[in-house]
Amino acid sequence: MAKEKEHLHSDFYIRRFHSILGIIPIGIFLCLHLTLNSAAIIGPEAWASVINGMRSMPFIILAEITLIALPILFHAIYGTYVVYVSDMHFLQYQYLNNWMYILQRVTAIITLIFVIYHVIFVRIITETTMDVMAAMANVLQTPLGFVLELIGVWSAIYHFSNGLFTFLITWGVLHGERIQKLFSFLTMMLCAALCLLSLIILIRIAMMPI
Amino acid sequence: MRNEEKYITFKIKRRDKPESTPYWEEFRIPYKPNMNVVSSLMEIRKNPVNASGHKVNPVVFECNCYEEVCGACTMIINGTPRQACSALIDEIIGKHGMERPITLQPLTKFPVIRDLMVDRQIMFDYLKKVKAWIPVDGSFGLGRGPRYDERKRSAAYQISRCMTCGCCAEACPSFNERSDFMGPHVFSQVKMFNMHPLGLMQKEDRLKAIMSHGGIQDCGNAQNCVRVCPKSIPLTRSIAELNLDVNLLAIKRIFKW
Repeated sequence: MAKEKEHLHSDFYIRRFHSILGIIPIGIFLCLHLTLNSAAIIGPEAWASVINGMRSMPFIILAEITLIALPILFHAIYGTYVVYVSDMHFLQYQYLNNWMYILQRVTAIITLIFVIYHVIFVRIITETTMDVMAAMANVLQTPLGFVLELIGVWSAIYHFSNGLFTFLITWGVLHGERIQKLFSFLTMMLCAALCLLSLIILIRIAMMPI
Repeated sequence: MRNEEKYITFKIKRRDKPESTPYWEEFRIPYKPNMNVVSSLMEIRKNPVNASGHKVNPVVFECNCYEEVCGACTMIINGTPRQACSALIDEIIGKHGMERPITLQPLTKFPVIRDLMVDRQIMFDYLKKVKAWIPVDGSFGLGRGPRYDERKRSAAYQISRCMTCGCCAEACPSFNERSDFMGPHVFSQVKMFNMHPLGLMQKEDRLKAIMSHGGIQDCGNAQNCVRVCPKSIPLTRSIAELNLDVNLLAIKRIFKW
């Protein structure tokens, strides 16, 4: 029999690339983003100085495009395909992991919509630091705006936390049932902590006199 | 006192031809102790009269071993994919009572031939694709094979109980008509043959096969497969362990590209 020509199927590599991008750099960026914006808890001045600091960095636009925008774009486009090929009429299976799986895909779509809105609203159409802060505070001061913003942020946080758990399985780190259970608990604790942090940040921004 | 006869009701999703539309039909049969779903379907076959008293075609179903080792009678019983032969009526009515009809549906992820009979050919096609066998046939004797590590042997034994029944594929959200995902069962078979001292020699071929289109990368970690597996095969553990193998091979292949 003739030796089959070595052929690298792109499916596998694209899916694994999608998996890496979710953590590096997107997941890291999400954590960094929340950490930097937690300056808003201290007050408007601290928050303004952090935003100014970020904005005054040289070549920040290059970093934003290559380290944030392009990875998110790839993760979102391929991820939408992944959501499309999963069958989610699965309410007959009442298992925790199945709910986490469904929620991962639901939050994927919510996060995608939220990120597009968020980038346009606070990065593209706003100019100065004061504009950004005022825009955020204005949205968060209306109950509907606050709830929608919270849903968007929490979706992103859940998608990252559960994504971190499945990332560890995909990359062959967690094998056994019990270690998987432990890490699913730990990543959900991380999710809860980040959700709490984001809630405090949003409340503090809503309270800002702008 | 007259011994009042008790009846159990079945609500069966029927389909006359592969291309025709399915419909639900109810059947009532007298209760006897120690029945299972297969014996109930045989009872219906003896006297195929539905609950409204009309004579109908008997319900078509498959069964073979009657002891949950062949997988032929796999169907969805009260929403759960399982074998009809090991679905004991006393257990079901013990849980839900006599009154609630027991629903029977064919598996949804495979083409229905008629009533509860489906064609699971695709599962065997995928097993061929991943080379789930050990090639030992040749023109001369190869002598005694290597010894099998006892721990590996007992792990392999657990996996070897897979009967390709389709429960895992049925419950898997990644296994559907929009996706070419091979289904959870193939990965445990690959794991098993890769563990075997002779199968080890084709390890890389099998890993390459599960890295191709529809392979291990399409697993979405919903983990329903391992919950519904009637043979308690560690399907998700096999996938997780193979993930490490395929990732290492992928890195190797990238640098040899």
